[in-house]
Amino acid sequence: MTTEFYWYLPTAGDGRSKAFDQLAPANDTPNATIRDLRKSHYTNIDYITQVARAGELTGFDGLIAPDDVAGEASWIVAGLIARDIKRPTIIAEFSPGAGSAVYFAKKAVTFQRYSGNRLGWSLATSTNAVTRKALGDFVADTDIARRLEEFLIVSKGVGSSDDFTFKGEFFEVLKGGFVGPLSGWQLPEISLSGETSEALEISAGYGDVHVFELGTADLAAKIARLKALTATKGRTLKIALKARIFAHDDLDRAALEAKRSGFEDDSQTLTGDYDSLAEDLLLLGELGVDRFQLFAPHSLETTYSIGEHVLPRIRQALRKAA
Amino acid sequence: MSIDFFWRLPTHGCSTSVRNPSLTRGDWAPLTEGNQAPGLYDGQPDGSTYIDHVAQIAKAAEISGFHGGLIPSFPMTDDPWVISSHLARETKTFRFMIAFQPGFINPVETARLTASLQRATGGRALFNIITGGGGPSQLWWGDSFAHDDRYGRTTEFLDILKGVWKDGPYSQNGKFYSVENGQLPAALAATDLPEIYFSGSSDAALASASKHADYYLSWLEPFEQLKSKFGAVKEKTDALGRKIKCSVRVDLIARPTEEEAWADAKAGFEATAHKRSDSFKQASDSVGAARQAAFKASDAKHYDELIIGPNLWTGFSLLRGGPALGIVGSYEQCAQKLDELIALGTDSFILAGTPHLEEAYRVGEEVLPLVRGRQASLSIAAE
Repeated sequence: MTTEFYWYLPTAGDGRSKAFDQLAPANDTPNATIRDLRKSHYTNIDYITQVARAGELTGFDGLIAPDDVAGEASWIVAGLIARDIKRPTIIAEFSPGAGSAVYFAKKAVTFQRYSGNRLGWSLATSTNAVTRKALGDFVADTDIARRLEEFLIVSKGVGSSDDFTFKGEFFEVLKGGFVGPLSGWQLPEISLSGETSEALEISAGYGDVHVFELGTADLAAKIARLKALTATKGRTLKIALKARIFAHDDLDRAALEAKRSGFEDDSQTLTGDYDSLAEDLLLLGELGVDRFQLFAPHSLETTYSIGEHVLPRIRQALRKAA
Repeated sequence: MSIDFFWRLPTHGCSTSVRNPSLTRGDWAPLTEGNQAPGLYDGQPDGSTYIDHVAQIAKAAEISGFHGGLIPSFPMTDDPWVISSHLARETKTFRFMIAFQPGFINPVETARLTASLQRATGGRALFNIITGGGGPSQLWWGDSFAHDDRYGRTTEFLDILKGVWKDGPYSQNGKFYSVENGQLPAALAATDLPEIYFSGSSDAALASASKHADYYLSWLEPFEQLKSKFGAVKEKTDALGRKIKCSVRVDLIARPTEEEAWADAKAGFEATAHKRSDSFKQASDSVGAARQAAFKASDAKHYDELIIGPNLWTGFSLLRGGPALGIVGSYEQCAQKLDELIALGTDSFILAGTPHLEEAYRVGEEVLPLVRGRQASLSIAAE
């Protein structure tokens, strides 16, 4: 068994960016005593690329650019880091409401060509109609799942055939698909999420990864049910678990950090020293979790502490068990 | 007032020579002699991909004095948004002119993408909005609007893109797009809107351009025709309350002497004789494409049948996909032609030459320094 580790990039900033970028909730007043050469040279993007490199250097398998409306656009962030990041998978999260399924497939082909098939897609649409309308997306709540399914049919169709025709309610294409060097690339790995039976049905039919959040009730049963459902369709899929994480060599200090950040006793947060975190993650792995998707209010520092201390413990334990 | 010069990034391969213009750079053609197919060495992957070659061209263009490059988008090309974000951090001044159609991405998402790119590049993104095309090729993209409808859609698209960027929270209830209280986060909203290059020759296009475009972009057409076209654009958009500038996209074969330039045009013409095809014989309802097809370049038996004036040749569509009419001449003559175009109302150029990498240096070093711009306009006008 292998367990994969992915890290969420702080596209909307984290505890750090207020020092130098307007994405932060409050701008620190510059200290006039110190001669500051930065001017407007740096933004959160420079920090994001450092976090991405941190993830690569410390052994993470993938990096996720979340679709956070308060931050940088996920597809741009994915492209910005792609020339520096040579090994990990890069996942762009976006909504099928953001544009044409054919066009997203086309962008994916270019990305796959340049990265050697390292692009992943995480498809998610806000369940809040107000949020959607602010993004120019007026889809009805009851149509979100059907639109996602059509998006998957069309993007997979044009990605795997050069004569694909489909006319649905939300997307259509006539004799679509890619030829020459644009053909033959792997479709991006598809990550989906949600707990409704509709969502699980689509994951079983089209998804490569289904993401649950830490704190999901009856997680083990849900994982087992989804894996069984997927098997009835002759497919397999990976289970990912998304969690916030605080790590320190001293358990009390980890707890102190979690408290400071407002995530004490939070059901979606893992807090611990390196040994206890490794144990927790291994136990979750035994429930059927194949991939952990982690984030933290201090992205850079936590990437290093997890990558340097927790990941080696888990990988060593898994090697011994094998 | 100074003139903006852009280069072009080839998004589906390039040739090592205009004298033998098959696609030998990039993976659009098999590995052959004279080929540099990124990603392959003796048939095996070597770790590089086509973006590495595109990066070389972008750097050559910025080093040799171009503002940036047009990044075209067609069914067989790589994608301009992906290229721009990939090259953002390794270029310094290169501006990314992203070609796209409003039907591809919704306007709010486009605003988010573009503002993020502005932040990553210090404001180096701009648009080449394409609204033409149509017919079966439009349905390939999954887009089924009729021609005149599409310009209405482009107008709405840009209304909303600018609205959520600069006037948020912004609401608009349109025929094609709507948004309710859309707004970019403050850090993104603080970036500059991209300059907008706009194409399209129909009345519907001009009405839309007058509202949102900064530059009206045309392929090179015979000079008198272009002059009246630009005159009409400026007059019409002025009447509609917003005067826009004009830009020409043109290929050149620039050499130390005119003889060498024509020899290369002739060689390219003859090298492609066995597979004569005109890139403009395609299904489309674009008015501009029809004008280029009217040159009937593929009917010519000899290269000089395609010379329509001093240093003007309509055979470029035989050498590569794209418009027929381009400039062939010595460095001085090429600069002179550019000056004539400036005199008839051109404010900006998108130039290209084959091979794109070496010719970026050549044109930047040898032709651009000879362009006199508005100074020349005065003397030409006086002649």
